[in-house]
Amino acid sequence: MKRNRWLWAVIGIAGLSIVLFFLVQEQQRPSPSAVADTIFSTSEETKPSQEKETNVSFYQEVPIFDGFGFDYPLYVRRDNEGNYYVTDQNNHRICVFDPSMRFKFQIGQLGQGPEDLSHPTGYALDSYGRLYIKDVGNLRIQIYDKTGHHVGGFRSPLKSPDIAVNSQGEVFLNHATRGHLISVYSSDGELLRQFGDLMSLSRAYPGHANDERYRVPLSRVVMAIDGQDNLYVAYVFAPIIQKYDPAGKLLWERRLEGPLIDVLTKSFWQALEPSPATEKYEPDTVMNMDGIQMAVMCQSIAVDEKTNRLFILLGAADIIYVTDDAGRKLRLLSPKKLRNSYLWTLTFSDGKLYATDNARCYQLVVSNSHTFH
Amino acid sequence: MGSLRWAKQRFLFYGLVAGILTADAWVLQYLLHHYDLPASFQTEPPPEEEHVHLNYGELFPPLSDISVTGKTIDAEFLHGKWGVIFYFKDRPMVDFLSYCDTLNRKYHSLGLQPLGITRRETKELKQFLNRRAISYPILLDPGDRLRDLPHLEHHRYGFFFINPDGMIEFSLHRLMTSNDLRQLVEKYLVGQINYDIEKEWRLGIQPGDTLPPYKIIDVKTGAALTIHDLDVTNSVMIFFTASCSTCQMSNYWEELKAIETSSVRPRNRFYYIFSQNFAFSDLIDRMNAHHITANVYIAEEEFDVLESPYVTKAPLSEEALVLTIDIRGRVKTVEPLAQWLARISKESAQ
Repeated sequence: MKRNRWLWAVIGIAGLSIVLFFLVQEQQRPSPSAVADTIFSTSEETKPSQEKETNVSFYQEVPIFDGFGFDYPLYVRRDNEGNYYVTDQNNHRICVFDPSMRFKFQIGQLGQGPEDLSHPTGYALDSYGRLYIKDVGNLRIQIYDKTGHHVGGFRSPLKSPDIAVNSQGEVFLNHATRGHLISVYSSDGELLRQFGDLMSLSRAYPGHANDERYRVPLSRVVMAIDGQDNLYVAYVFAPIIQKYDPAGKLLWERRLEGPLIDVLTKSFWQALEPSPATEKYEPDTVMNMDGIQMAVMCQSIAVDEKTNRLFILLGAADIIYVTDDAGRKLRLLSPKKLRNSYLWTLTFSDGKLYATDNARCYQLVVSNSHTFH
Repeated sequence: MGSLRWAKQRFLFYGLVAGILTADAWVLQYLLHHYDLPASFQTEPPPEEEHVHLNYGELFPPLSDISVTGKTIDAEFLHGKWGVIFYFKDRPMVDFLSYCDTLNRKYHSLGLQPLGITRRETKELKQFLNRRAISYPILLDPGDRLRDLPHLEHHRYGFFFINPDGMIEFSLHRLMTSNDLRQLVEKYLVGQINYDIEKEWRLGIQPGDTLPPYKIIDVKTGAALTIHDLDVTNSVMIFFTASCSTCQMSNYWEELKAIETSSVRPRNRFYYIFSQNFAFSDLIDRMNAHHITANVYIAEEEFDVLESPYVTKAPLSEEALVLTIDIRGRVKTVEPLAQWLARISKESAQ
């Protein structure tokens, strides 16, 4: 009887110490509170010790093509003649508007035939006005001329979050499972070259041991090409941007920085390693791209072809990270008002920033700089 | 003295055990946190290549001589038709089934012929079929003979859109969305896709339908009934479908007053049917206080086939649906309450 009491006491102490250990661990985890609210809140509730972003400008979303009735629009871009193109994803088409924003015609419709589309998720325009459409539902790239006639395409069963095309009509896809970051194809689908190393966990998040499971998911990138055919990539799940020259040589790699990126990094780990003991984490955007659920770091990237400034839509509260042509941080752009839906794509065309959410297209009008203290 | 030494020894022994256990837990957690799991624990990444065994442009295998649960599907069943063949292993896609029915009623005359295939009749499916008379067959396929024809062995869902020559125009081995189905039907049968989101397409019940036998309770008498127990011929049935957590009849007082004083009121039998979200006691109190003369009922189950765009994200006044019933007991019109009130008001003014 006496022995049993000792036994139970010791087991109790052991159990308690284990519980305490886990509690301490949980305390060290980041708070799951909304990322941007903490950073941008001007209210007195903001924690005094919280480091804040200091160079923040506001932008306002001005709806364009309002009332058109898109069902999940993606990517607003303009061609050399000033026409607008918008992917209308759930209506399985690309809508073309004239420079006055009047509807001209549509490219594609739902189907599996040679000229059809099924859930197009992205497109790129070459210098001849040809459209290269990521026809995800049909596992292929479709090519149409500027009058909307189908002129070719090729099968592309591998996943790529984005598509880019250079002035030669070469198609850049992020086929990470092929072993390189970028695979370049001719317009008829021939693999021309590959470049870029895949991202590792220890490189993306220094201080963490490598984990091969995350190599392909962490190597998912969004892309933009400038007027000199340089390729810019932003990692969807890592705070890193890179610039490659037209031959595929890495020119620079930058790590996104600042208090917001720190919070996003904590969010990344919270989403990757959720714990039932912590509050349920609900980041703005979580993607399950390769069977692993991760919080999005970079949602979309756009390049100003004149200045080569980069605009990176972060995976939090519609905040845009702006860099100079060498990838150095210039400032953040924040929406004037937080909205119920989130921006999905960001493009830069004809000197203007465009964005889309799940129902509408916007031109983003940036107001004068404002600094928080 | 001896017992103190014994206690010390035991304390040291069990303390050591506890220490080892704690250290083990720390090490285990550290390892899990920082290193790869054994290969056998890792989840395989999903294959990037899709495997649709029957694709666009291929001939759908003939359905002749296949008899399932007493029904024989012969070669003529889909001959010359635009076939919509969909398979679900066990979990019915109720919204899709309903939508498919709506499409079939609209486009059957243009050659549309849906055909559902499922492995077993689940409770959910049975309940759905009891409530709604589906205008196309849903075949039970316990031996998986129909499933195996288009090679859906490894899939929970399958979808094939087949042209009158039996060629596959569209195939999927996952859930098809209702909107995509509509676009396909419009593309091939009508020749033009309507890209405007139409409210009517989201509405479950349609003119010509009979009402589902929803279980209801008579607020006046407390009697448990179904809608089929009511004499609904030439009546107006107003379903207060609100999904608010504490709904009250007074939320609708302006509308109820307008109904009670409307010109159509004396000429028709009126039924007010409130959703489960209303409190029985509130309905009795308000009914007596405001001298509501219509028959008032409270539902005992969800109004699933009355799902409508008016129920969600709409102002409270619109969270009610008016069904006028014809002399045969079939639905004549389906309108949101505000629209119906405006219409009868306009008609009486004329």
